Amino acid sequence: MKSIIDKIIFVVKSLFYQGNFNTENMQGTGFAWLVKPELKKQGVAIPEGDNRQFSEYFNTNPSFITIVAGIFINEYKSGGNAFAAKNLYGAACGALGDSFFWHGLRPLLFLATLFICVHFSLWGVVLYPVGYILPHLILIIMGLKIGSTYGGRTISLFNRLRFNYWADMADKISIFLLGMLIVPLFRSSPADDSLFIVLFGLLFVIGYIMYKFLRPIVFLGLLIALILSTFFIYGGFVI
Amino acid sequence: MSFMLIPFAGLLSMDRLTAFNFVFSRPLVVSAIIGSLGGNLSWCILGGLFFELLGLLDLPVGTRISSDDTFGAFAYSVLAVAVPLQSVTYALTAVVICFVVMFPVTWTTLFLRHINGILYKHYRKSGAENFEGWLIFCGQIMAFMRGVIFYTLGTAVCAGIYLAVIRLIPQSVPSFTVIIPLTILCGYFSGFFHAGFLLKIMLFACGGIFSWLIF
Repeated sequence: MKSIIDKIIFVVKSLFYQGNFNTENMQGTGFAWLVKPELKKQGVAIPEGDNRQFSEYFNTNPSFITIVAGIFINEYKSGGNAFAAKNLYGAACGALGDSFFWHGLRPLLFLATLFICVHFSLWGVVLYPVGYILPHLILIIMGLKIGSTYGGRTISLFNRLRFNYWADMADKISIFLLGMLIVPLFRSSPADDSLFIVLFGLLFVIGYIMYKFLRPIVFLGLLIALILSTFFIYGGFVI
Repeated sequence: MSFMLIPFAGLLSMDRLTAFNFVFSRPLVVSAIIGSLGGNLSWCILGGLFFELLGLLDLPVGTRISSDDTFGAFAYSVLAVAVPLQSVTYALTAVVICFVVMFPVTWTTLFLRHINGILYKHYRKSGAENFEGWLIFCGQIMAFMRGVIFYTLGTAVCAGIYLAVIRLIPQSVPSFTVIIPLTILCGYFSGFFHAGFLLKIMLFACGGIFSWLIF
């Protein structure tokens, strides 16, 4: 029973570990806060000299924090170079997580949610948080066990699960969904005027080209200018 | 409901910066929650869509601070509920104002991280041990207060600007004009995905044709 409560506490703590996120040590403080008590619980003595190293620079994707903690604890207990492992696997898991969660899953869920909202019900919006939270929580809950069991082989495990492939696949499905969403948008424009369809197609291509050359902030400025200019075109400001 | 929005803003700020990572702070979700509570779901989601499309591309990787789309959606949705936006003109005006006010609010993230860094260096220099729990607690409180103060203050600023400029905006803007910026945003968004150009065009066209035939 006590071990289950300890595991729950560890998982809950891992949801808050980014509290001291800063540019000096990134998530290092949170990592130390998470890992030091866990090592003590497992009866591992922390030498005086090591104490300060725990909170040094560390960064990873938040969904993978417990996995990196598991790898670190495994290395520390076995006398390996745990601090080097922390940085190495932190960066590797960070790349995996960014690619899967932020680049692949989030846009896919967004488009799938939008598709349901447009064609079925606005309550389809619950798909977005639910679809994201489930894999996030599964990794957080199982992370410590995965990390401490597989240790340095954790990345190979994710490669075997073809984690990057799924992120890539999510991108392709997203493009398909985007096509499915945009076309009805064109059709809803002023009735059967085919000129509008060509115009909107052109605007879409312009947007695509802009992605290649403009940073989001510059693009945002242009977008604001565009919205204001439509106000001018259709009526003019009342000044 | 307006009192509930204040702690809600704090929780959104925490979810975005320091805790949970449950995507409750994503614009689409924020606007859906406020819209369903305030009774203007469809207009809230329309605005959330703008912020979400832009925010999805702005990833907070490493030290990068992405623009605070959570605030944008929060302020827009509160406006949509408080000053019912029932036309494209009102909605687009509110979106533009929230886009602009979003940037000063984004800078508060930088400020928060700076204070976190100062606290960390202070405790490290002092030679204290096991200070991490205290720093995490301070960080959570600051993130919560950031939402409470700056999200509500920013929303008030947005509302003030909106009420001041709405008289100047023409009411004759046709409803399809909302599709113009949305289409460009979608084009911009499509560049974000990893795939060869030709494959992208093919997949996009297949999706379009499929949708054209089915719906």
